[in-house]
Order: sequence, then C-alpha cells, then structure tokens
Amino acid sequence: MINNPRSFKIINIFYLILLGHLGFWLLAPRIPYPRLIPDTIDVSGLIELQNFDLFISALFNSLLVAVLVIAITLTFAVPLALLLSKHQTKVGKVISGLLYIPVLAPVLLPAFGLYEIFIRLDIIGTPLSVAIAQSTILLPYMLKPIENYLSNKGFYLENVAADLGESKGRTFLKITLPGLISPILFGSFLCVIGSFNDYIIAFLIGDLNVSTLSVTLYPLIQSDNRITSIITILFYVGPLILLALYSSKLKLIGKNGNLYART
Amino acid sequence: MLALKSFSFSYQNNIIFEDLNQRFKKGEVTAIVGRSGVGKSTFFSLLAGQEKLKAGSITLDERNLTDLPSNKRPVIPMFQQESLFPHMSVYENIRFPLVSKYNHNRFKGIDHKAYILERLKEVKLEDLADRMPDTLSGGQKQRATLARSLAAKPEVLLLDEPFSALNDELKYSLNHELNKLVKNNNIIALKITHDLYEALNFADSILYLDKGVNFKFNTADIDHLIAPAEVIEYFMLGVLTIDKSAYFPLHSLDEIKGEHSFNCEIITKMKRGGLYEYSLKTNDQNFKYFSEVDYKKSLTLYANNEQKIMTLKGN
Repeated sequence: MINNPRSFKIINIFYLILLGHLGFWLLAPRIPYPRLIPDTIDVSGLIELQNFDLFISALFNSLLVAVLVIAITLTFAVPLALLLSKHQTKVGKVISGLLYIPVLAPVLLPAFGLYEIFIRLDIIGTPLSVAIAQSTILLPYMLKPIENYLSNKGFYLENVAADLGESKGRTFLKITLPGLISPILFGSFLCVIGSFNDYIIAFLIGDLNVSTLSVTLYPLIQSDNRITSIITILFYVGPLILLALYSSKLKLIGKNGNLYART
Repeated sequence: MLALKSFSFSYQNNIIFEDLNQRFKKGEVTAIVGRSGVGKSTFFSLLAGQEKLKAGSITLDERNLTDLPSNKRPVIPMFQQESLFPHMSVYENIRFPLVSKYNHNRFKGIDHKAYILERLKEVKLEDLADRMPDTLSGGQKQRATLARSLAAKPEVLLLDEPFSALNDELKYSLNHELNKLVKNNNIIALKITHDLYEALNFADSILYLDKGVNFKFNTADIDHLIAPAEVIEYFMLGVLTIDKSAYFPLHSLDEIKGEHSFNCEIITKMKRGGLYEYSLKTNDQNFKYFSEVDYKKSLTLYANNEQKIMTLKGN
C-alpha cells in the first residue's frame, strides 16, 4: 500500500489531520479531549426522546426545502448552462463568472435582501421562500456540473448525432438529456447537502415557521447531548448502510463489466 | 465524384481557404496532410456542414450540398475524440443512424438487426454488440464508431485522425480494413493524418494543405514527385531547409543555379508494410524518405531550380 504514491499521500493527510487535532488540545488544555467511548452506554436517550416528532417534522421540512431548491436551481441552471456553454465569448465568460459569485458571498447578503421582498410578497416563513433564498446561494453548485458536461462532451455529441441524420429536438431528448442525468444528480446532491447545512437563511427567512433540521438541532446541541448523539448516529448509520449496499452492488456490476446494463 | 469549386472560408479576417478547387473519386482514400493550424479540421467542418462556406460550392454527383445542414448531408465525419454515445450499447449506437429523423426512410424496408450484425462483422465486433462503450478498448471503440459511420451509408466519409491514439500495429490494421470497406462500399474517404507513412501507404492520393497552397498527387508518384517546395519540404519532415524561391537546401546552394545533385547516405532502413522508411544524411543534415524501392547503399537527391523539381533516385 505504501508503494502506491496515492495511498501514501492519503496516509500523510490522515496523520496531518490527527497531529493537527493533538496540537490543538495540547495548546488548549482546558478544553476536554472528546471521549470516543462514553462511560455509560444505554438507550435511555432514545426512550426519553420527547422531541422525536419535532425531529421527524424537521426532517420533512428539510427534505421539502431541499426538493424545492433542486427544482428551482434546475429550472435556472439548465437554460443558463446551455446559453453559457454555447456562446463562449468574452462577455459570456464574464457573465459566467458573475454567476459563481454567490459561492464567495456571505450567506446573509441574499437573506437580508430577500427578507424584505418576501414580506411584501407575503410568502415569508414558507418552505418556498426558504428554498428561493437558498437557491440564490446554491445555484452555482447545480450550474457548474451541467455547464462542464455541455462544454466538454454535450455539444460534441450533439454534432455527432446531427451528422448521423438526427434533428435538433430529438438530439436533445435522445443524446443530451440522458447525458445530463449524471451532472444533474451530482448538482442535486450538492444542493441537498447545502440546503441541509444551511442555518442562517432557514432561521431568518423561515421566520421560525419552517423548522428545518439545522434550525431544530442547533438549540438542542447545548441543552441535551443525548438527542444530538442519537440524531448523529441515525445520520451516520443510514449512509453507512447505503454505502455497504452500494459497494456490494458495484462489485456485482463489476464482475460483468457493464455498469449501465445492470442498473 | 465530390467536387469543390472556388471553396473559400475565412475566420475573423483570417483567410483559411481561398479559391480551392479539388475533386475526389469514389472508392478512393485521400489523405489530407499539412502543418498544424492550416485548417484541416475546418476543411472537414465545412464539408460536413458544421461551418458555412464564405464562397464557392460543394457538389456530390452534381447535387449541390453547399447549403444543406449537416443532418441532411450524405457526409459522415469520424474524429479522434471518442464519439460513441455513452448511454447506448454498441448495437444501439450502430442502430442510431438507421432510426434518425432524416435517415429512417432510407432504412425502412430492411431488417435492422441483420443489417447491424453485418456492419459489426465487417469491423469484427459481432461478439461485442451488447457491450457499453466504456467497457471497450480504444481500438474497439474506433471500430464501433467506424461501423456506425458505415451503417449510415455515407457517400463521403471524413476521418479526422481517427486512429492516431492507437498503437502502430492496430492503427495500420484498422487502416487496412478501412481501405477494404471504402472500396467495397464505393465511398469517397478523406482522412486527416500527420503520419506520413500512413498517408503514403494507406491512401490512393494525398492532398497537401497550407496557407495559399493546395497540392494533390497520387501516392504512387511519390518517387518522382514534381511539387511546390512546401510540399517537398513537408515530406522531408521539414529537416531540410528549403528556400521557397530557390527550392534548394540553403546552406549548400547559396548561389547555385540549374540542376544539381547530392549524394545521400542511407543511415537506417526499415520496412513498414509495403514501404521502406529511410533515414538519409546529406551535407550533415538528416531527413526521412519513404519508397517502395529497396535501395541498398545510397540515394541521390536531384534538384532543378528552373523546373522546380526535387526527386530522389537510388543505387
């Protein structure tokens, strides 16, 4: 494993992170080092969990907002990406650059700006308003993968299809759209992560009516560690099971050497 | 017959082609050669209809193709870049032109399955029909792309360095198969290449393109080529410095006029297919030369300023 330079680099990064942590606690001895194994292990937290309904409702709200974010970013990202990748002029590149500014801008900027607009429109405190505000920040994460695909491969394959006698409309449906599935899925994952992570916009625009997971969990972190522990475990267990299932499925597919035919 | 008349194109005030006139015969492969950036790929884009001519015309058997969009031309390009549709199997890829909007009428009466299997057999991929493109090797991908191009029954096939990413053995074997398919299907094939061996050995004729120069000749005439200096220079791989006004190596012929000859020593000789590749040395300069003749000891370079001739004859 050490002979593989890539593995070696990963090991180095791992030790760097570990040493970084140790250094942090050496310099700050007052902060207790986290106990990886607790003194007592029981399920009392789960039994005594009074706010479980709140958690389910928060999860539902977060999912609803995330789905809306995907829908909104997708609605804008696909035509924008088509436009930007087809017209790669200097002006187009400047516009493309401007569209990525939300990645660098503070989250509060669109939140404050949109807060007033949403009050006037009387949609403040709805999942839709939270999703619109989050979409302004998350649009680049959907836009970039789609734009990259179209610039690198999409239009080239469209030309190939045209040379083989296909019309423009049918080429989009038969060639471009299936190719866009991967970048859209990738962008959607990023949007879900961004939406679930967001606290400030959900808190401000949600106006305490839209309790997403982060809005619900944040006050609980300091009040009841057991609840946050259980929720953390729940969040870790789900992806781990999914990863195990997926990797076993990948192995199955790998044996036949055909990923597309089996899925 | 594919005929280009007064074929002209410019890009942002940069003239790429001006008044180009050429004809290409059916069942023949023409290699398109020239330095990088002279517009070889643009030449293909114009023939395929992806770019529009500024002036002139493209006719195929008296049919005017000039204003036809790319999806209505009987011209199929094939590029070095991978162009199989990644979400379709090899079979589905080859089926694509048969069911495309502007082609499906031509393939209405025929049995698609049998037709596709026939194309797959031609490129020796009959066992890989159900495979997805990402599971194929580079050579198999290019074979599948070739099968798809041929399935569309093109009258003109444009090949932009289609096999350049492959190793020599595979490249020449695919070229051999391609030549057979072009002859059998009576297709006009134009092939861009930077490999002079490939151009000389696997093409019936060669079209040299350069700024303001286009020169076409039969590969059989390479030993006695009468051509502009740029062409000779290109075929000597640019090693000999040629004065464009004098058509001679500069260092040895500063003030010499008339006919002259130079003895070239054979440094290495290598048989590649039906041709010999010679590494020659004259007046301390090295260059390469291809010939069907097996020269034993040396070659003589004849150059005639007045007649603008440069040829090589061996002992």
